[in-house]
Amino acid sequence: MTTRSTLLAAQYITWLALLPSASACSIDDRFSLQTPPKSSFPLVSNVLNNRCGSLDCHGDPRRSVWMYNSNGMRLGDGIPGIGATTEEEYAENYVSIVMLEPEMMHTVVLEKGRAPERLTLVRKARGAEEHKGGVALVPASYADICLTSWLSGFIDEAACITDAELVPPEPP
Amino acid sequence: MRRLACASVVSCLSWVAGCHDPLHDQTVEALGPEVSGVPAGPLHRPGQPCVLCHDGRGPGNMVLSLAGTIYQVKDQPEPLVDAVVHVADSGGRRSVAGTNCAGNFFIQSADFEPQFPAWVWVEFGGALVPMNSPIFREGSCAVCHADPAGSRSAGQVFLSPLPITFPDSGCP
Repeated sequence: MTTRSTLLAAQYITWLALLPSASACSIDDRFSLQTPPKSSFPLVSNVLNNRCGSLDCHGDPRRSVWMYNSNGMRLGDGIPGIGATTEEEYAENYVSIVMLEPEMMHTVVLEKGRAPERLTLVRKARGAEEHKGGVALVPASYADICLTSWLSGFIDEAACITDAELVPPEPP
Repeated sequence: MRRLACASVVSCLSWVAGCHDPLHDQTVEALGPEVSGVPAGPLHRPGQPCVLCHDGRGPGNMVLSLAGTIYQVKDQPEPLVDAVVHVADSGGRRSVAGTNCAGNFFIQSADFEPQFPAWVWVEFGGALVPMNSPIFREGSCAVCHADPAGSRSAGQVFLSPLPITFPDSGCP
């Protein structure tokens, strides 16, 4: 496990420790619909942030889904590129993701993540539907498994940590 | 005869509509006029979103895929002259461009159209500085790197976060 992966895992554990315990398919008191677990969302958010949340994509408030993160749009006084993604930003990203299609999200979560492609989020990320950003999550990749396992209520943490970041090409 | 007339009208309307993008025009207009004494050309409009005007829709003649301005030091106005900008795209292809006396660099679409995401490094004086995150769709650096930095902008592109002495560029 790389140093960066270790840092991400530590970040997730810290986040988990600060939250009250939650069942796999808990009903958040802000929502009347079934939603995926909020406690494990930071791991998913990290994967999405690095593929979708740049300033020129979903880190741009003109987009339909907003992703706040360390290298994208920041909440409050934060500056892109400075400081890690904050707890508040993770919380906002969670709302952004689960409330994109709340009724379908409810159905997918209720059915333990069956047919996640029913969500526009999944279809566009996989490139199965017209998406300016192209394929953000290659189907069956660790990043894809991270998202779909989270939707099922049983997140594959190893998949999320493994594919948290894009691997850049060799420097010149 | 009537069918031919209708087809002609539709064709004309389509032609007229396609030549005019009011949103694009308004965005270009908002950039303001040229700086006095700096003609339209490679040295003009440092720090502005180059590809906005140079995307094939005008008013810039040259069509660019990637372009921007590099500065010597964070939050300082001195341009970084004679730096080398390295680009590597997701298809394994690479391109390079140099910065001119205004700190501007540009890559023409005819020469290189990156498959996003694309990674960038700035090389100067033996130092190779990577961009923190890849580019996912935007060809103009200034769209994400507007000045000043804020929650939706990483601030201008710079080589050094701290003031250091740069060699004389030889520029007027």
